[in-house]
Amino acid sequence: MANRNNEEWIGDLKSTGPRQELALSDLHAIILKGLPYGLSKWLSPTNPKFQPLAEEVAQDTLLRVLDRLDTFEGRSKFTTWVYKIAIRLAITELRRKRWENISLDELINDNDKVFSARLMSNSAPGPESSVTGADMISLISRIIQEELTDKQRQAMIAIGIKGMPMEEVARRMGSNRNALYKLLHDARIRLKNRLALEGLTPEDVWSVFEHE
Amino acid sequence: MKNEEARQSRQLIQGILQKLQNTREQEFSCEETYHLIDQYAEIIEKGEDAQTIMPLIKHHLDMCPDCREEFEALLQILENISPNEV
Repeated sequence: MANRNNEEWIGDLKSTGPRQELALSDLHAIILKGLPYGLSKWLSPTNPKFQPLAEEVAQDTLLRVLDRLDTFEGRSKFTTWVYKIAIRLAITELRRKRWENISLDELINDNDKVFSARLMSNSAPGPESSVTGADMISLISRIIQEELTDKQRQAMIAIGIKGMPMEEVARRMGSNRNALYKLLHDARIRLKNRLALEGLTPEDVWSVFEHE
Repeated sequence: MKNEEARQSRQLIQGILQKLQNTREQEFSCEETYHLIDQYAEIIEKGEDAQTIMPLIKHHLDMCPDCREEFEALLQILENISPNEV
């Protein structure tokens, strides 16, 4: 396989005929070589599902690379940029499969309970403070109920307790990961501002837990 | 059941608090991070100081589990494939 620099990759992939075909074939092999490392925490290469996934991802990556060739800015090695695309495609598919049978409603049916549970502290108040972690949980729960939208609360529960990927939460909300991140950023800013109105910082509240 | 609810509430709220401590008015979005993540991964792979060079990317990866997973997967590839092989 020829070693190419970024310009040579672009030139070869933009050409036609055997020159482009060779570049595509080389890139295909490069993607397949990298995926076992990139997906090592997700799927073993010995798993029978690995090879079909890797092949599908490699094909989809080549199509996407050709489609977006003009957006490559040369900030990284060309192959690193290609791997970034392949990883996004592969992990998106793996997340989708892992969570495909789980609905958001099912996951967060205890929504209200989580934010309004009457909580008991496991330990007595420390000598340095009469405020307990349970008090703080009640306060934060109330603030969350008052300040955040249903959607923001649901996303926090699905991600924070259930471990659902943001991408999967967003898909179920008819949104996308980028928009969901912004929604949650807005939520965090609102909570932080409200805490400030209550005369507290997140660090103040955290320190109560640390002292228990 | 009540204990389980209490445990979940505590887990969730502590997680939210950790994020609040790290919340900034201006943060990179997932799209902005994705745009630069290949460059960032190469910087990390070379052992350079990412916090200084690309602090907004590092911050986003601390806040966004999905982008963090994809970054770590990309880094795994860079760390295991020699530049001469590609």
